[in-house]
Amino acid sequence: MLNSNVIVIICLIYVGSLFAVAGLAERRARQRKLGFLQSPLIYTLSISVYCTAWTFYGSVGSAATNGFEFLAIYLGPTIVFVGWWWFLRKLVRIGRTQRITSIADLISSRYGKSNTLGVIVTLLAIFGSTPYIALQLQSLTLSFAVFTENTTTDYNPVITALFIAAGLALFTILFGTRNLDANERHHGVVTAIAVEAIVKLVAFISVGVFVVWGLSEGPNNMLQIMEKSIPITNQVFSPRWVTLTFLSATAIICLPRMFQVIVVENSAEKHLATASWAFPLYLLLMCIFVLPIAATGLNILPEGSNPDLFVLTIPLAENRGTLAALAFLGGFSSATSMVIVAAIALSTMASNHIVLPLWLYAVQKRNPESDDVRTVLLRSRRISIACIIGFGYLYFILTGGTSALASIGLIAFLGVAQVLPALIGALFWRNATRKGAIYGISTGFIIWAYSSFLPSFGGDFILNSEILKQGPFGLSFLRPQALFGININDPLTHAVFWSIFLNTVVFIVTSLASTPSPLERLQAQKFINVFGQKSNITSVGDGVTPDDLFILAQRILGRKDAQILFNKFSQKQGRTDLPDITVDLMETLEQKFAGSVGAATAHSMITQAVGNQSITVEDLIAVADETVQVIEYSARLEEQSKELTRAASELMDANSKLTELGTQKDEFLSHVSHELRTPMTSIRSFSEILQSNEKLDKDQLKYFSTIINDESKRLTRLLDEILDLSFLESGQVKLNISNLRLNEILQTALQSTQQSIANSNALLEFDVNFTNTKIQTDPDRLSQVFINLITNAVKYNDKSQPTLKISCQKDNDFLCVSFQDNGPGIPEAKHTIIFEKFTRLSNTENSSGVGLGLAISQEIMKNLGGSLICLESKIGANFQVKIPLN
Amino acid sequence: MNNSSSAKRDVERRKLRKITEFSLGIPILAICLLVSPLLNGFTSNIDKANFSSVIFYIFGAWGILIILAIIMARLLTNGVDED
Repeated sequence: MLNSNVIVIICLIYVGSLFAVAGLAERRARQRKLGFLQSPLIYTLSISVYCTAWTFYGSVGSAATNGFEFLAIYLGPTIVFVGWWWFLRKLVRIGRTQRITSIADLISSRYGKSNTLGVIVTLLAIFGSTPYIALQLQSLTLSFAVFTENTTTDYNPVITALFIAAGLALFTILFGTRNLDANERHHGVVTAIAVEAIVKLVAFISVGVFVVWGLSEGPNNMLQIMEKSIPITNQVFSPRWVTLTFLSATAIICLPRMFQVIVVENSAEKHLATASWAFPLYLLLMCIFVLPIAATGLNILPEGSNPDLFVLTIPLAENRGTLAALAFLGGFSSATSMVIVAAIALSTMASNHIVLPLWLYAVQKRNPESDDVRTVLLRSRRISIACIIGFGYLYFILTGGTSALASIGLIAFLGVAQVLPALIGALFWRNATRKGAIYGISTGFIIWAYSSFLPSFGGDFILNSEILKQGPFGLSFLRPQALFGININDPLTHAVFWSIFLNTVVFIVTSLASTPSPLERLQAQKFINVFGQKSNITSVGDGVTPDDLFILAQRILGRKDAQILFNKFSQKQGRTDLPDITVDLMETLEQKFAGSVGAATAHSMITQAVGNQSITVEDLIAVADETVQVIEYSARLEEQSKELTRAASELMDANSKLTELGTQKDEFLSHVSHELRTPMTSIRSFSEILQSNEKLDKDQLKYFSTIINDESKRLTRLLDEILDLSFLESGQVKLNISNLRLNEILQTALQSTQQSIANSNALLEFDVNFTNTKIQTDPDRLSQVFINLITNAVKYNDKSQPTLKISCQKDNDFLCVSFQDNGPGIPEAKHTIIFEKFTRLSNTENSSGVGLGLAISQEIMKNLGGSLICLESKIGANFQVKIPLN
Repeated sequence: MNNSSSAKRDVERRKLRKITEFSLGIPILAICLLVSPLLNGFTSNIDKANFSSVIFYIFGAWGILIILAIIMARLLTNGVDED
């Protein structure tokens, strides 16, 4: 038969083995043999710290009194976990990249590393958790009491609770504050909790299997018993059902201990993927036998038995000692694991956000380098743990045994749920500000305390029953459980609605009305864009020496870790001594510090070291990034569209140029073929005559052959000209430069044209100015130009006595020779066209040329570095040849 | 070669995106099944006779969600690894 002594011994053995498991895990972790310790299974099992004694004992109790309602408490977390990709994953990623140590740290870090917020959330969490810890102590003492009922032993719950509390504090201090790991992971504790998770599941299922197959005749029979005994409320879905689901979904994220195991203790994101189905499965297994146990308890135990203890009392009533002991261990595991994790989470928050800032403030005037932050931190953690468990114990003694404690679970949930709006804002809303978070959480906290927490004492604490009924000072619209005169049947639904609603409204409105500081915006950017972050390595300005930072790092991280970290950076920078201070180093340091002392404190330490330069230029750049990214993106788009337009117009230009060139080519070809055809035709026809007509006389023969000869010459000349032009145009022509007087070249040209001048009876006026000037040029080519101009002037002249006036002027480095005739002249519109190939102004057939002369001349002048243009003139045409002097 | 591999990556990325979008459906489905008046569709006029139908509905839906979460977790982690 089980008695209290046996139970105590079992308990001690169990606790001893937990110590051993935790110790072993710690040792393996220190040896870096993490393997199993970092498996998704351990992670999932540690999350089941959600199932406290409140679940183990309480859910059966709830099922026995309220039917299905208890299920909502487990469906909320299920919804959150199956949707892990959209919320938990981001939370965990932020926790990992920002080295978040607690939910208070997360909120404080996101909202500009504000310690005020850290303090508020810490106080809120302690307020919300203390009754919950008391609840665990109560359930433990109650379960102990079950075994002492029939013995003569003088049982004192207060003493039992004290022993339990002391034992828990010892365990938590031993394994929770062993090291100040940069990421606050506690392998020992987590492994022990995983073991406890298995124990409570096995224990609960064992009792379940026992009642279904041992006490009744299987599931069908069980269903009948359940139908008969379980009380049924009207409808499962009701405002209260929604409220409970919402609260439990919030709790799984916001409860300090849940945040600790899900975010802080997470070692790999993919563990979350496993937990996304494994944890709901765990909850399902924990729930599946709740109704059978409740129904069996109601059925076989005497009326008035405490339904909360059915799990324990059913095996005892059936004389199943081993099963009862197992069930007791299950309850014991549920309660202890919750207290341990909660104490760790809360002590981290309390020491990082309250104790350490106070200490820093106190020692600021003294020489800070002589103090070892690590010692202070560890000491403050240990004291905090003892205090928090102590608070729970005190609360238990003060309210122990009252019904107030039983309902405190949900009230505690609602307390910490006040963090939710700020938390969601932290992850998704860029414009959420510190002020908004502070005011929102405070509003929610006040409403929660007023409408839920204080009334839970049933008029014994601060709010008396008079106020509860009539409202303060008789103001009925301020009745704690019917605010603003709106009657909501269920006080919990009422409190949830008003506190969360007003909290959210205040948070949003205040955020919109205030402006975030640069640091807040920087943090917002880091949090919201956590998927896709990259760091930049830039040198930071002066104000801090590497030695200062090294000393600071030693104080917080410990000598060895600091040395390792700094060595790593030295190596990276290729230095043998201390590394240069880069933003990268600072960020790493701050994150490592944050892992030990919380983001706000770490930030203030670093900024103190850097000399109150609160934000580096790089930070500002990063803040600006957010804007710049958008601007850059749209600018890039604009640039691209401009480029496209430009490319399109270039393409269009090129296309039209190509078309033009194509037309020109066609024109050129048709010109050429036309020019070739005329002489060819005459050559062919006259040669045919010669061929077919053998009786030609000498004169005729001579005449025809002369024509053929002339035309062949013309053909050759044409082809020569085309060839010449193409050479000139491509710049491949070879020039024979020599130093000559202009006069000499002109003379050469005149000699060549003497015949045609004489034939047309032309008069030549010759201006002799500057003609003695020496020029460096290709004389043959230049005279070719002159000849062409003189010939044209004579050939196309319609006067009886053509006159050509050649004059010369000096224009800076050029010599300008103009050829002014008295011919028909050239209309101004055609001043440029005449230089095109195959252009002839007159259609007179006497022109022997093909219209290449001027084109060639202009090309020659271009090649000589000068120019040939047609000037405006009243009488006749006026061509000007510009020759460079050198 | 280059084109086809980038097209393949594109297809994979689109696939992953679809999976992640689909994964949003599970919590939504969970809410629709378990925290909506749909629950009363199955459990209205509750009396002793359909007590078991309530149990089967809630636990059945719960189980389906877990199975979906298993499938999703596998798909998502595969996708993430490839990423």
